[in-house]
Parts: sequence; C-alpha cells; structure tokens
Amino acid sequence: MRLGGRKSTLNPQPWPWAGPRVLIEQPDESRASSLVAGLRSAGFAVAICPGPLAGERCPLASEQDCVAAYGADAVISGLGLKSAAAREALAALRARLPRMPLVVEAEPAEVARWPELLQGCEVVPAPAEPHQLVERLRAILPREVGGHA
Amino acid sequence: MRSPFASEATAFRFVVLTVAAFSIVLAAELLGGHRAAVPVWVAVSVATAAVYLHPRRRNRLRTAPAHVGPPGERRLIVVAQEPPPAQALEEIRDRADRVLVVSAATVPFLRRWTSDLDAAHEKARQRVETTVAELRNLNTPTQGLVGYDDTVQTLEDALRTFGGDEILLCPATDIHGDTLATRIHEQFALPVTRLSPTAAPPTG
Repeated sequence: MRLGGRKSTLNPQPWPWAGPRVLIEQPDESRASSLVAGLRSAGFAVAICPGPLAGERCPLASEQDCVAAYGADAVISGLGLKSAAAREALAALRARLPRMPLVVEAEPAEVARWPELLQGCEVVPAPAEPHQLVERLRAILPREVGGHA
Repeated sequence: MRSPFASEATAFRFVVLTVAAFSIVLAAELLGGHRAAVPVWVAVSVATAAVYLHPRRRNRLRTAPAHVGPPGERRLIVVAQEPPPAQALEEIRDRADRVLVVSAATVPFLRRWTSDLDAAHEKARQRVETTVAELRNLNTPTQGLVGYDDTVQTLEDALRTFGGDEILLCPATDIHGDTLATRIHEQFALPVTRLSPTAAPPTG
C-alpha cells in the first residue's frame, strides 16, 4: 500500500537504554509525557514516536526503516485509526514485526470500522490510563522482559 | 551531512546514483572528449555533494530509561554549567530525593587542539564539586559527574547509571541555555526545566 506521502522527517535511532523497552506512538505531547512517567515507574525504558506528520509516511511504511521499533520489546499505538497515515503505520508495523507485542488504543467506533486491522492486537479503549497500559503490557510480555506471559 | 550508507535503501540509492553519474561522464567523454567530460564530471560531483550535504531536518525519537531507585524516589539531574544560586539549591533540595550534578567541559571546536580542554575540564570539576558540597550541606544525597566535551552525551551517560526523573539546567548564558535545553528536550523524554542564574525554578 503506498499513499504517495513524503518520506518521514523522523530519524529513529538505536535504543541507548537497556530493556524492557516500550515504543509509545503518541502525537499528543502532554499525554505522551504522562504515559512516559507511568511506564518508567513500572520499570520500562521508553521512546516517544509522534507518528507521521501531515503529508508524511511512517518510516516503517516507506523504504526507510525504524530501528526504534525493531529494538523495542513492545509498542503502544496511540495514533488512532482515523487518518490513513496512522492506519498505514499500524499495518506496516504488524506486517514488518508480526510477533511484536502490540497494545492499540482505539475508540469503539474505530474498532467497529476497522476490525481486520486490529485482529490479534491487544486493544484498549482510548484514552487509556498509564496503569491500564502497564497491566496490558505485563499480560502480553514474556517474563524475561518484565511480563507475566 | 546525510550518510549514503544509513540504511540498505539509501546505500542502494547511492549505488544507482554513482552508476548514473559515471554513465553521464562516460557519455560526455564519448560525445565530446575530455573538454566535455571534465566540466560534466565537475557538475555531477557538485550536484551529488549538494544532495548529501543538504541539511535536511530530521527528528530523533525522544527516549528515557526506566526509573532507577526505589518506587517513588525522585531523582534529579542538575546540569551545572555554572553553580546554581543559593535559592535554587533550596528548591532543588525540596523537589528531589537524590541529585546528580553534571557538568561537561565544553570547548569551542577551534580551541580543542590547545590545552583549553584541560582547563575547561578543571573548571567543570570545580563547578561540580562546589555544587555537590552545597547540596550535601542541605542534607540532600548528591553525587557528581564531570563529562568531556558534550553535555548531552554526559547526560546520556548519567541517565544510564543514575537514572533521573527530571533534568534541571543551570546555564551560563541565556543563548547557550536555550540551545542546550532544546537539544536535551529533543533527545530525552523527561521533564526539562531551565533555571535562570538569578531565579528559582518554576514548579510543576
């Protein structure tokens, strides 16, 4: 799937921190900060991806790559599903990293409209509280990276 | 400068570009001899350099390590490019359970080849020791770290070992402080507070 958007100005770098590592896809900076605080307190290193800007594509959906996604132990997708770029980013993440533990924040209407995109994902109602996301992460992550699975 | 080998895709594009450039130069040589090929070679080289030297703005993802220390313990990293004023020291004591004071020996590029680096490192060491001593006098558990050359790299080293839930900047000048604050904010997913040398830090 190619939407014709520009390449991303995001420049993901390798993780400088030890795991467990969670990539947070969240365009709202204040909400991302809140999630960062909650996840760090729970023992996770974090990276914030604001998602593709208007007219751009996620590096995973283009010929670029995302070392941050490849180096993560889990991803929390909070980009929503309303924009085509966000849906493309989620689809690309699932296609490139099919075994990546993935928690998706989605509104009920989005879940109803794009069920195939969310099939097999850990879906939580948006906006989720940090402790809810920590619980979901621990439920799906293996023990060696801080989970219970 | 953008690296042509940053990824498989960019390396492939570089190979294609190189083959295309040689083809153009070869065609010029065949059609017009040396007198045509040399200017074409220069033009192609300049165009290629322009493509890779173009400072395209690309943003890193902001990251932060996991919290270090007991749950609820608030760790603060103070970047002391100059010693914080007394009022600020009390504010630091009130908002942190444990403090790491860092300072890097920042030297302008053109002066790195002289002995200025040693002098700058000594000044950084003195700033750290002074600030650590003053905070310990206020009964705040405090450590110090002196870095070479780059404050952001020093901060990354500090975060890797000490952790840190907030970064507080005590810059030498407003311009330097703003630039540094921006670099730190763009790299680390942590609250960054800029402390003016004459004012207490804002709360929150």
